[in-house]
Amino acid sequence: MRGNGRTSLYQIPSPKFTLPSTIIFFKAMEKEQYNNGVCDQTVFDSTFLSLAPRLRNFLYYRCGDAEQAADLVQESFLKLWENCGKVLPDKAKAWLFRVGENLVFKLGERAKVVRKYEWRQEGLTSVVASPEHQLEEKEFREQLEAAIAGLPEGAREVFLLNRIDGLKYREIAELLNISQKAVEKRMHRALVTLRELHAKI
Amino acid sequence: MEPSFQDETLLARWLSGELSPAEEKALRERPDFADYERIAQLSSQLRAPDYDARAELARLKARRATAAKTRTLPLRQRPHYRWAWYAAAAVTLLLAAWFLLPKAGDHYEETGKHLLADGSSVQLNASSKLSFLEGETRAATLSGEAFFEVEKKDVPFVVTTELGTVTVLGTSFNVYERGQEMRVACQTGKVSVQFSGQSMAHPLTAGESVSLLPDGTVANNRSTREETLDWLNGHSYFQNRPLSEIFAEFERQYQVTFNLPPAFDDTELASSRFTNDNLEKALVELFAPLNFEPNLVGNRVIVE
Repeated sequence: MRGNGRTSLYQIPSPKFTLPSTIIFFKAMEKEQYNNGVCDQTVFDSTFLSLAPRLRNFLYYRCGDAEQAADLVQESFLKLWENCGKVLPDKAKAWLFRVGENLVFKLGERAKVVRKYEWRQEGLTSVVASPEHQLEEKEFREQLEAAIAGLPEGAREVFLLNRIDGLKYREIAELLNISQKAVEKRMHRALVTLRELHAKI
Repeated sequence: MEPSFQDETLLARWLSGELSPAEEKALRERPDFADYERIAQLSSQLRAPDYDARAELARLKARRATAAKTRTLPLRQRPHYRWAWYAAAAVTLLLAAWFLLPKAGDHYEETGKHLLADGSSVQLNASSKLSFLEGETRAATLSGEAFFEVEKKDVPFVVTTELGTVTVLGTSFNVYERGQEMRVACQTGKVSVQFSGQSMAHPLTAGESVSLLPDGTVANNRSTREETLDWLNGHSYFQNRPLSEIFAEFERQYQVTFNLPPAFDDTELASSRFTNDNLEKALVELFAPLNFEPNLVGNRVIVE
């Protein structure tokens, strides 16, 4: 996490000449920063504000309940605060997502797949459509919702993080701690599966 | 039925607009493309429920404050167990090393002649490593340069390098493997050379040699015997070789580093012969024909 209080330190240009001692010196300075990284209140707050909405959505796609997802976000960040000395700021993202995922896992049976999504309104209003067309659109949406519920775990989150949260594949890969290629494969599979499921419904 | 996809990331890269024009065209010609377009268009209208991050942060801080009051920290976090784990790990490692290392065979790094367990002998050039293990084959693994005199036996003697393998029954031959280049010269008997990633083997008889060049091509009989084997007599000998290769050999022989002028073109071809056991003499032998006067400072050779 590039926290507010620390940005200036990261702007120090890295040394052009590669004297080992200089490198060690700069590494030591970085480490110094990590030590109070997430434990620093302002760093923690900005981490929360930038990451919590994404984590909430991710957990929402997994457990199917917005309120429960918000509670799990709280749990995850409490754990981050307790472990702030052990988690490096740039690892905090993936760390939080893994903690959150484990919490959903513990919910076990109670975790459900979202069956109903909200839709942006502009889709309907921008097109001046006939009632039949609107009905058809509504049907198609319902079919797509059902198909998304039928997506395999893994593919579903990747698909929604991209479509709803607008995250790039590289960003998703970073959050889930997998390769970008793996994200792209899951995304591809999601689209193929959605089409197949959709054809069946 | 639609054709299946060959590329498992195609649709993902289509959505993010990373397809090449050719890929895009092929995708658009598929009968199911309209469906994907519809799914993409519609799914971009999906939305998640609202979330007030600031309010949630305030809630978190309130929870943290109450949690901090009630929580008691354990006085001691059982550090002795941690040491037990470290000790167990160390013992396991030592045991593994004890059982695994002897099987990896004999190791040779010292420049000079070595007698191998099967009675064959090997002479290592500077900065070369060899390991040898007798099993189903007589397996030698080499990086660098070495001259082999192999005892005749029914069990094949196989020299493996990163760039290829040499298989023989009983003969003498030289193997050179540095950087991206591998050369094998057969002095007596017969050898078979197989370069990594190539299906064809190259049989050599006495006096023949074969080289794998940095560009991946193979040249037969390129280097003369004298050039290849002169290092056995304590000389390094080059005929029309790039200066960079000659310098690299010099640096290996004497553990020195060359400081060349920035504009120096070391891709130029040259012929050179220098001794391998007298640095000052060798410097003169190398640089006099090139019209350079090098300065020796510590283990740096400064050329101006």
